[in-house]
Amino acid sequence: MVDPNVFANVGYDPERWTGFAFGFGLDRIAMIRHAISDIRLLYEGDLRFLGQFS
Amino acid sequence: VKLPLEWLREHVATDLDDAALAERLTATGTAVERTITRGIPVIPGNREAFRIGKVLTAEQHPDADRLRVLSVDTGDDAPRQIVCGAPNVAAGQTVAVALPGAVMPGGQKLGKAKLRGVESLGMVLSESELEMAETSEGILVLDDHLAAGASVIDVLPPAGTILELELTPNRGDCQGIYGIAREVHAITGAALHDLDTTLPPEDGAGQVGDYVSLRVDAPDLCPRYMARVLLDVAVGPSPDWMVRRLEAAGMRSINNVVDITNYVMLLTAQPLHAFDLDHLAGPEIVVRRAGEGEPITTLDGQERKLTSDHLVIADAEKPAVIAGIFGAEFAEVSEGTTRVLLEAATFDGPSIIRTSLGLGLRTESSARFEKGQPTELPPVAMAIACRLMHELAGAALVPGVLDQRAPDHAPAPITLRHARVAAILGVQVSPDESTQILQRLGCQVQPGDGALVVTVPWWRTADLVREIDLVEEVGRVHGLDRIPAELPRVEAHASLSAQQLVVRRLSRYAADQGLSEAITYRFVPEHDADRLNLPADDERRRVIRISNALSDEMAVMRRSLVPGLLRAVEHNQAHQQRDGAIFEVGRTYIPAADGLADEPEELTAVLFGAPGPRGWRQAPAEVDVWSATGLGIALAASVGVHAAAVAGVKEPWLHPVRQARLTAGGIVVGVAGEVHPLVLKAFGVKGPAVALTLRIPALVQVQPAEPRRYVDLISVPVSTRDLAVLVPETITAAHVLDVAREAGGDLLRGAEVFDHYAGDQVPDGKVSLAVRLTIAEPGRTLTDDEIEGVTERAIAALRDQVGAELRS
Repeated sequence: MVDPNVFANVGYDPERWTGFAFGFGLDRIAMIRHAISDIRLLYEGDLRFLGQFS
Repeated sequence: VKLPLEWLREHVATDLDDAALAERLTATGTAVERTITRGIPVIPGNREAFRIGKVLTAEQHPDADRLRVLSVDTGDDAPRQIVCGAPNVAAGQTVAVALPGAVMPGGQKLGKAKLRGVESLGMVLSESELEMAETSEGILVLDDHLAAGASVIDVLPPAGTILELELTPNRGDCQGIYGIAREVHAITGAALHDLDTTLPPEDGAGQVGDYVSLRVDAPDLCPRYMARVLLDVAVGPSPDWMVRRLEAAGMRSINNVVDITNYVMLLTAQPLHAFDLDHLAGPEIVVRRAGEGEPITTLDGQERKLTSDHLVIADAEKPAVIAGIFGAEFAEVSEGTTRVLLEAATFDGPSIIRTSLGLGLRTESSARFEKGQPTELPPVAMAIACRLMHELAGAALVPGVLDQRAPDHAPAPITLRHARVAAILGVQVSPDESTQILQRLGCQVQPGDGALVVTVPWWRTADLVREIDLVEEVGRVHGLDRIPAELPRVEAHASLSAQQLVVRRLSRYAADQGLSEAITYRFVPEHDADRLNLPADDERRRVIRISNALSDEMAVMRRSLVPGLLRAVEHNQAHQQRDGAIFEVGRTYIPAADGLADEPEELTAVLFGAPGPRGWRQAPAEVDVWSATGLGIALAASVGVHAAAVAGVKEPWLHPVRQARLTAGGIVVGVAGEVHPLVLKAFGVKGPAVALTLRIPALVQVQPAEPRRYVDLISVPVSTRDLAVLVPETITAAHVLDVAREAGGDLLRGAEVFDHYAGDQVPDGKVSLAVRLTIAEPGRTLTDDEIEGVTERAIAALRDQVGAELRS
C-alpha cells in the first residue's frame, strides 16, 4: 500500500486516493520461463546463449 | 536478530510448533530468514544414532597425513572403524559419535563413507558439526564416566531452534526477546507472561547519592539516564543456562556481570552498561558532548579521537563510554571489581547513528539505540538486571536511584474509523476483531462514533502514530492472506507510441536478419570514453556518475551502446565464436541542465568475422563498411525511412575513412563503419568488426507522417535521360543527386547514379558519374521541350553548384 503521505506530498487527497505499489523483475520471470540457471547469462551477450532464443 | 525459541517460550505460552510459529511470524511481517537447529535434532532414530563412544585405538591413515583411523567402542558387539580428521583425537577419549542414519542439525542424513580408501562407519562429532558453536578446534571430548553406547541426546544440552529474524526498521521493540513475545501474543493470542520487575532487597549500605553523583549536560541527546549502585559484587563465570542462551542468541560469555547486561539487553532491547565504580573519578557521572579531539581508549585497545558531535558518559576527568556504543578500558568490570555502577539510559537515535557511522563502530548496543528507545524502558531493564546481579553475583543493591529524565509528552489517542479500515484493506474486519487485535498489541481501546479511539502502548509510540499505522496493524494481524484475491478493474486505453513502434519494428527486423539481441549493462566504466578514442574535449565524455558505485567497472551511466557490445564480442571471441552479429536497443544517458538526464534510445549493432549461415555452396563474406551501411539502410527502410550513406564523418571509434553517416530528410539518423583498429585493441576484439548506430528519435522524426499516395505513372509515357558528368572527387554522389532533384522540379520523378568511373581520360581530382533522370507527369504526355527543359535545368545547376562538366 502506498503511504498516505506520498499522496499528500504530491497534492492528492489521501482520503480519496489509495494505491498499491509493486514491481517484479522481468529477468527473473524470464529465468523461470526459460529455465535459465544463471541471471548473468542474460547480460553477457554470449551468442551460444542468445542463439537459443532466435 | 537471533531468536532462541526456548527463551521465547518462557515468556509466551504458544502451542504452535517451531515451524508453525516461524510461518505465522513471517506471514504477519516479521520475516524469518533462517531456521537454525542447535544440537541433535530430537526425531525418531536419533536417540539410537548418536552414541557415546570410547576411542580404543587411533592409527595413522595409510594414505592421508591428516586422517586417523579409529577403533571406537560404541556399545555394539564389536568396535567400529571410524576415520577422523580432528587434530585432537586420541586413544582413551570419550567422544560423541554419529552412526550412519543419524540426522544432523542441518537435516542431512549421515551415510557410510570411504575416506581415501578406508571405510568409516560413523563420525566423531565436534561442536560446530552440532551447530553448538560457530567454529571448533576439534572434536568434542566428553567426561570419562559416560558409558559407551549411551545416547548423546541425554548428555548434551537439549536441542534448540533459533529463528533468525529480519526486522523492519520500525520494529525497534522487537530487538528484544520480550518484544517478540509480545508480538507472538498479538498474532497468535497465546498467553503472555508479565516480566518480573521486582527489585531484589535493597540491602546495600547508605544511599546511592553517597557513592556517586549524576549530571546530564546534554539532555537533548540523552532523554533519560538512570544509574544504580551495587556492592559486594562477586565477578565470576555465569551459570550454564545463561551461557547457552547468550550463545544461542549469538553472543559470547565474558563474566557474570557483563553477561547480565547482555542478557537483559537481549531480553528487553534495552542496552545496559556496568562500570567499576572504584575506577570512576569523582565518583561522578557526567553525560556530555566530547571535546574536539578528546581521546578515548576503547575496549578493543584502540585509541579514538572524539569530536563535539559525540556524546560520552564521562567521570570527573575523562570519557568512560562513547554513549550507547562502546566502553573505555579503564572503567570496565574486571575480575577484581566489587562495586558496580549500572547504567540504563536512552539516547537520541539519529545521534547514535551519526556517531556509529563516523567512528565505524556498530555494536549490539548501538544497533538497538539507533531506533530510539522509549524512556519507559530503562527502569524495566534496570530492575531485572539488579535482581540477576543479586542472584548470580551476590550483589547488595544500594537504596535509591539516580534518574534524570526529559519531560515526557503522552501521545494523543488515535481515531481509527471502521470505514477507513474497510476502505484501505478491501475486507471487512469487525469492530470487535479490530478491538481485540489492538488490545493484544497492548493498545487501550475505547469505542467511538463509527470508530475506535486508540491509545498506543509506550513500546510502540514511535511507529504507531497515525490512523493508517493502526490499519496496517489490524490488516497484518487479521491476515493479509485472508484478503481475497481480486483482479483490479482496469479501464485503460493505451497504444504504443511512435517511438515504441519504431523500436519494435527495428528489433524484429534485426532479429529476422539473423542478428542476436543482447542486453548489456547501463552502468559502465568511465574509461570507456578513452577506449572509444574520444578526444579530451569531446562532449560525449560528460557522464552521469553513480553514487556509491559497486566498482570502477560500473561507475557511470553509458553514453553509447558500442562499448557494451564490444565487450560482448570480446567475450564471444574468447569462447571460440569467431563470427557473429549482435545488436541492442537501449537508452543512453546525457547529463541535462536540471541535474537529470536526457535518455535518447539508440540501436547499435556490432558484426564481427564473417557472420551468416555457412553452407556448401557459399561461405559468408567478412564484414566491411558496406555491411554496416547496408544493414543501416535496410533497418531504416523497415520503419519507412529512406536513408542514404554519406561519407565525410569522423566518429573517433570508427575507421578514419571506412565510415559513413546515414542521413534522411536532411538529418543524420545514424553512423556506420568499421571499428577503429585502436578501439578494437582497447576492447581486446579481433577484427574485422563493424559498428552501426541508429538514433531512434531521429528516425521517428523523419518517418513519413502521411500515408503514401498513388501517382499514376503507368498510363503515361515515362522518359529517361542519361547524363555523364565530370565532378570533383570531393563531391559526393548523394549531393549531385540532391542538386539535380532540386533543379529538375516536379517533373523530375527520379535521379540515380548508375555508374562511376575514374582513370584514363578523366582528369586527376575528378570522377565521372553516370546519372539517369526519370521525367514524367501523371495524367498527360510531356512535350519534348518540357523534357529537355528539365534536363537543361539539371545540367545548369550541376555546373553552377558543384562545378560539373558534361562529358560528350
